[in-house]
Amino acid sequence: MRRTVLVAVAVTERVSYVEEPYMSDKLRVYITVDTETSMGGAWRNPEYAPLPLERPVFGKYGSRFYGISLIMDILESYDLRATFFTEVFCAYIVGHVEVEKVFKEIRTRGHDPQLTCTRPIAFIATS
Amino acid sequence: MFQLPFEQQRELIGEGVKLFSDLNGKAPKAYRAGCYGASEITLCALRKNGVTIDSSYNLAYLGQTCGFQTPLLNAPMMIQGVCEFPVTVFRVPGSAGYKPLEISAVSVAEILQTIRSLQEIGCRDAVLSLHSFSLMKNLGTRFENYRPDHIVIQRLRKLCSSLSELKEEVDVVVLGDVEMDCVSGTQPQVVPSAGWVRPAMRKNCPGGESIALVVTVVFRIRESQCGSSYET
Repeated sequence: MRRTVLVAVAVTERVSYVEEPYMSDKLRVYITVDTETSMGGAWRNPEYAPLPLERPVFGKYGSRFYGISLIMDILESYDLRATFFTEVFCAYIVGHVEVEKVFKEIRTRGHDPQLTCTRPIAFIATS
Repeated sequence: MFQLPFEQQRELIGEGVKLFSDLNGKAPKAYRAGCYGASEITLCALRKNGVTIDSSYNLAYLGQTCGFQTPLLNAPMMIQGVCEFPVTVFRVPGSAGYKPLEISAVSVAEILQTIRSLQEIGCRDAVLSLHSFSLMKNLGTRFENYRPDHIVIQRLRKLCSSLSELKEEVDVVVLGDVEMDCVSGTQPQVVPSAGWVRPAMRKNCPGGESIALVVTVVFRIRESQCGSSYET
């Protein structure tokens, strides 16, 4: 992915070669997807809990899914990849297995999972 | 998050990194704060935890939920030893603030025009954002009555198709693959203007983006005769 160019530098009688990173003229576009559950009103109303991942992350609607799976379907149909910033503190609320499913789907489909932390979820999860 | 003292942020991010590594089998390289709630102090906390890339800076939220002190960032910059990739924004004349390249809030034409404008002025990176629930609408507090948003779904397809067609000019890449020495820290920090035609077409005539394209070409010729539309 990365190419290099060799730059000749004349120093007195010697010629040495310095490796410099190749800077493409192409613009790099990063598609990023914030992959997180919703507080679902739990911050204001302690009787509520943050929502299960089925809705805000997987977007289950009837028998179909309109969340990250559909986003990946669309990207992959054009041979594109995205970075999925994935909220992890919700694992304390919805269970580690549920969040592992999210990572597994992102990773096995060749996309890029990265980290996001949401303070209210972290607060509720750790208190 | 950014309101917390450094030590608390370092601990919270440290726990997040550990949890991420346990769940994913690999440590994270990049981070974004929920609601863009990060600051320069957060970047120090990230560095201490081995995270080298951040993408929490968003001009549209600066001074609100986004706590950075660095003014006007719209291209990558090294801050506190962490490479900051701000969410790309543009300006709409006649309206205050900035609009991020968020697929559920702006049109494909606006995104492509912003990308082209950045390319013309020597920028090399653009960050688009969406949420896992961006393809749904009527979310409500607890997602009671949500349903698919076919306009945004179609828009994402169109954007991907356009980016795919532009592969001679544009590379779609992921932050996890970024090689730090290939990121230019000397890019111009500029916020392009979308003009007024495209935003008006998005609001008043959702199917009228192609008409907007023709009208905008005419206005861009006039703009180039009358001076720059960029803010630096």
